[in-house]
Amino acid sequence: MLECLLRHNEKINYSCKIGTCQTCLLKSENSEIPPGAQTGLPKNLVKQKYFLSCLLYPEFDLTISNANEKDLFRKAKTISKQNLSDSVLQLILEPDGFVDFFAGQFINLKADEQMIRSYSMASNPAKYELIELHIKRMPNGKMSNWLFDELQVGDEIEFQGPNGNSFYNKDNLVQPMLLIGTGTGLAPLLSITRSAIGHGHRGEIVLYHGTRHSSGLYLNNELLELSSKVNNFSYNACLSGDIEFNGPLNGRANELALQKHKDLTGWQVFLCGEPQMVKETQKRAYLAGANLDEIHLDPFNLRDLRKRSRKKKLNDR
Amino acid sequence: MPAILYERIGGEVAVNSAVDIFYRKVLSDDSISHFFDSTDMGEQRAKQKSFLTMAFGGPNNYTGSDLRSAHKALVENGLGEAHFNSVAKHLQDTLSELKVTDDLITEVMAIAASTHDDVLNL
Repeated sequence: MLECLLRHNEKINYSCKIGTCQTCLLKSENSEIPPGAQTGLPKNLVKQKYFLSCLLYPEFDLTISNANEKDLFRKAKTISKQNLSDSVLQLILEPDGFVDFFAGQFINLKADEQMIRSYSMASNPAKYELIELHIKRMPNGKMSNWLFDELQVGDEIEFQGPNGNSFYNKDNLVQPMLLIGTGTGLAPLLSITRSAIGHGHRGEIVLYHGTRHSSGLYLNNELLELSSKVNNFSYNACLSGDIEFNGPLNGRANELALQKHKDLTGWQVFLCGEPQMVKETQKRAYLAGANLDEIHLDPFNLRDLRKRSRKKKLNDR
Repeated sequence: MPAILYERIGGEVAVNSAVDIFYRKVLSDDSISHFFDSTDMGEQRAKQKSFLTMAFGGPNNYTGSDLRSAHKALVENGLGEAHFNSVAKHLQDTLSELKVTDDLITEVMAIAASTHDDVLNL
């Protein structure tokens, strides 16, 4: 349905097109909705006959309407903005009330009708008063540049969520966990780490954070400190580019993690970052013995950014 | 009358314990893993599950012509006798690993063997 609407130039929000980000929500006026189109939606939205247009394959005539803003979006106040590095902004929001989320989930921020993007929460759900997000400035990213440059402390911003099914399950406190994230893929892993430690997780918590340049290790000091305080938590900073100071490992985070942890039987694995890395690592973690159900994926499915930036570069020449 | 194979082998619980082991063996086998490369792993596992359900004599929607059309492109890309035998071997090993009795394994392998001509589009 989404493809059809876009083909006919309907103005409709979307991002991932695979049922993850939930930005392409529409509402049905029919009592019946084809199966699968409500996958992953919270109960209140299912009841109100919301569906994901990217997952809907029409089987009969449907009458649809746009999502009602009031059903979906809530407000949050911008409490603070702090640069964690040249390209990563820490945004602290105070939501208008309780946000019941699991560590590892994300919300969709809305700048205006045409600009809605997903960001993982880095905060510990047990401390729900404030939501922490890590925003990477994308060279041609409208949303990230707006958050960096336009949004002011004190401003209100709308959000929808929580969403996502890659999250920490506190029911098994002894299970070892391997967390691999690249770039701001660290954010949900940080939330999981904080939540697990908060719940008294006793199994190993092994975090690999990878970036190309040292400035991308934007929480290096904090995580080193945390690992020195918490016995079962270890932090491995990985640089695929040049090493500019002592400490980080040299190589890609997923490669280094899998080299060290050759047997993942019984492990819980969380992967967040570039889709190709996530997919490849999923397969390798599975072959190393992890159950497919216990490998949780949170790929960044960026919308058209690469295409646009490449085009622009060509024009610049 | 004895219960159907699917029930004797343990039904869906048995399929669920077999599917991860079986799919891991298939993906680890360099001689056949490339046939499974392009697809989404979740989807691929769901397919392996349907296959195992069928091989265990359980409720399934497979018909000979489905198996034929599903494997047609793979046969055109070189899927042959040796690959079929490798997959069968992994199925057998999976069942042995799960300590399924030899009698039941023989029954499962007979069902798997019956798909031979359709899978290879012969």
